[in-house]
Amino acid sequence: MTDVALDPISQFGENQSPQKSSSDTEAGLRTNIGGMAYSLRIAVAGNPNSGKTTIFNMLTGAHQHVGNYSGVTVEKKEGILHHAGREIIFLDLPGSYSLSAYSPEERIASETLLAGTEQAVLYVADSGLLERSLLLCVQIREMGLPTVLACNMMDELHKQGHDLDFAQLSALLGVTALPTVGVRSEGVRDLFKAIEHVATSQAPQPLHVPYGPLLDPILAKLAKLVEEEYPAALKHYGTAPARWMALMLLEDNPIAWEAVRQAGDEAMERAKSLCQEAQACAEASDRRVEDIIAVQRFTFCRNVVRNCLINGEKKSARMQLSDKLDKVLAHSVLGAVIMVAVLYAMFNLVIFVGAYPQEWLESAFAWLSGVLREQMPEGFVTSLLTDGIIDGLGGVLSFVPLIIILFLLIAILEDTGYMARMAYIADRLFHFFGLHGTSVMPYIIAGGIAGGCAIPGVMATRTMPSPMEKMATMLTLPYMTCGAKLPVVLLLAGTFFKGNEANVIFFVVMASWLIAFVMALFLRLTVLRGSSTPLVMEMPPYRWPTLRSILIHGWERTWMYLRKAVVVLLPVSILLWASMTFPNLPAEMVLDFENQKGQYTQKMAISGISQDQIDELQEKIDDMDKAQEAAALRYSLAGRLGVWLEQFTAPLGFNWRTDVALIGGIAAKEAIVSTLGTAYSLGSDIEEDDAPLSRLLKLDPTWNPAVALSLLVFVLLYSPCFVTLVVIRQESGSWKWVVFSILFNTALAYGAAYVVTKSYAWWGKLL
Amino acid sequence: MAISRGIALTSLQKGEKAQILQITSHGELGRRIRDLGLIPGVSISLLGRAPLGDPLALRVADTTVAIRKREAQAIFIKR
Repeated sequence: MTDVALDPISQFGENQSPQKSSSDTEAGLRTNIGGMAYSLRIAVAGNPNSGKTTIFNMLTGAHQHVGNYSGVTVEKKEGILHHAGREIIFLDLPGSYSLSAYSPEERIASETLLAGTEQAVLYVADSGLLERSLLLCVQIREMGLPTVLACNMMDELHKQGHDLDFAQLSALLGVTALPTVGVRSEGVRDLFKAIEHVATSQAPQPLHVPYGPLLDPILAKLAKLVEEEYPAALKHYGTAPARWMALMLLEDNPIAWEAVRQAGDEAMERAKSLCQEAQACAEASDRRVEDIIAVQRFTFCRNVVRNCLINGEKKSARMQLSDKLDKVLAHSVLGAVIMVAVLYAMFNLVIFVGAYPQEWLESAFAWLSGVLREQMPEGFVTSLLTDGIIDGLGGVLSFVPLIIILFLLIAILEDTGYMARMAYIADRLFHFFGLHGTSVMPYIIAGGIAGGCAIPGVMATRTMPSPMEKMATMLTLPYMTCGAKLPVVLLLAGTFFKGNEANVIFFVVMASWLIAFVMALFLRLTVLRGSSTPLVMEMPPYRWPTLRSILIHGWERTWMYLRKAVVVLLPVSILLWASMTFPNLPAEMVLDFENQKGQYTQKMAISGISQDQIDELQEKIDDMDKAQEAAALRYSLAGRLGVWLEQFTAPLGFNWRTDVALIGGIAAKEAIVSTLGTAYSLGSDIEEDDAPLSRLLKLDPTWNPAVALSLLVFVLLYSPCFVTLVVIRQESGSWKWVVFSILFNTALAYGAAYVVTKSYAWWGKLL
Repeated sequence: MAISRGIALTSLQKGEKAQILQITSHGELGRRIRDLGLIPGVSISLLGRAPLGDPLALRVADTTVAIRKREAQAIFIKR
């Protein structure tokens, strides 16, 4: 089944060419200039949870192109196919319930449909919920666009004991209606034929929905006004009839009003007075215009469904099973307990299962860099290649297995419908801090349970419906305990709080949640001030996810992470390597080290020396190498910056070595422990075994539990890593928030670490 | 205007059925509410409440809709 679906074209066979039949019509000529067939553009529209994406994937298979609409962070997905010498481009519009243009998704959907660039619409409806699904389909038909209606999930409707009269449905709506079962790829072949036919035939008349004796006359007047006197305003509405624009004006649609405003003040006034007249009439009978439109459209859809639904024996209701599950999963007490358990299980799975491939990848990169170091002459190029590029890439790529597993699990949560329940359960808490129920997932991914990653976390805010809450979520989730901060926590806890490691980790995780919440509230009351976005959300029925959709979903996001991370990290790791390498140690200092090493080597060459002595000397040489490495780091740009910073970080108890490590941590938090290792002359491969570093920190008089705690807090809160910053730029659409994240978070980290240092001292005196 | 306003949706008890009389919010929120099938004349029932008592889960036609109490205050019903 799957490989058939991957290439739907192959299902047509050689002698079936549905494209030929309609080329003699007017629209057929439109797509056949000079005998050259050009591409067909088909918009795929539908409500969220209607199986729209499944149908899109089924049609286009692997031939997809994912990008962004210009200026907004709404994902733009296109699938390109070649069939019978013609290109067919499917554009997956964001799922929406109407064309009201309030959210960026709806705005994109309605602007795309109005632009007249799409030849036809493939509308995907949930057959089990046809009445409501048709609401948007009817609007698209009112705009006059040729439409193929895929009645998806027909199997569910059959299970409920019903069937549909497709001929009747097609006639009533002026569409070509067909049954499909997206998850089983049923109905693709017919869908394909219908799409080609509809797109190349003459466009049908726009659908005329009656809006009742009160609104119909006013609609006619408004339409006439626009059409006859201000055709300029109508230009923004592409091929849509004037009645559609009139309807949008009555509904107070911002795009429509903007178009009229541009046509002139007089047009604006006359349109306004007509709308006010409508509102006054409605209110006289204690109703509102919006309600009349909604009710009339709804009644129209209900009548259509009534005329098309072939009632069998009623076997089961649509939500029967989901209601039973929700009695437990969305229960007011149990629901919360289960959600925490699900999240806990999820992260254990990610960390536990992901640890193996992560280790393999790390050793593979270590091996590669080791081989290169041995094979290539020592020097600039080798150092750049191994310490700069391979180590940097290894740092990012070793996280890929974790990310893949994480995204697969999230795809399962989304596809089953449980994600909507999580938003429902968590909303009260998140709303209190100025966030939104849908913030829960980005927080969790970013490290709400220790071990996540802020990069996919920021990316997960993309689907949030509310702009202010989205920004607040995006800017505060880097405080979470991501996987790369864990080694620092483990090192410091193991060194200064032996026996209490678990408590320290718990403290860190709790502190990160608390601070993220408080900061979110702070941002929402200051720079991100604004009323909260309403939560009115459908909770879809629970469904079994298909392997195919989970894989496509999971892969898309992994690929996005990978592409971003590699593109950004490569230059950044080179930059970091350079700042930690240059300027090189001056020749006379190198000479000092070399002389001493030379002395040891000479001693080793003396005949009659015992193996023990040789080992001892070799150890001294190794120590000397590491000391040289540490001296080189101190002499480098980063080292000097660290030394210079020491005066500012002294109140927190950080020495220059810690400062250098923190600078490295801005590139990637993984670099903190290894840089600290280098600075303490232990070599950078300290990550494998942090026992020597731990011993040294214990002996170093500048370190104590207070410093450890303040460093923990600092690492938790300070500037997000480079890749996160780049993703913040991408998702927020502005460098402003990147600069804000760096400065604000670092200032916050400084303040918090200072408070921790002072309170620890105060606490010590008290005891 | 307020002759047939009815009672606020938030006063509905768990499991109770009702009919929507009027929705007083307009603009974006009003549109969102209506988009999900919450319009005058429609029968609804309260399925339950989330932990901490908010949001509410409603049965609207054959769907489950979650809505915050704050937003539900604009919806008036009759039992």
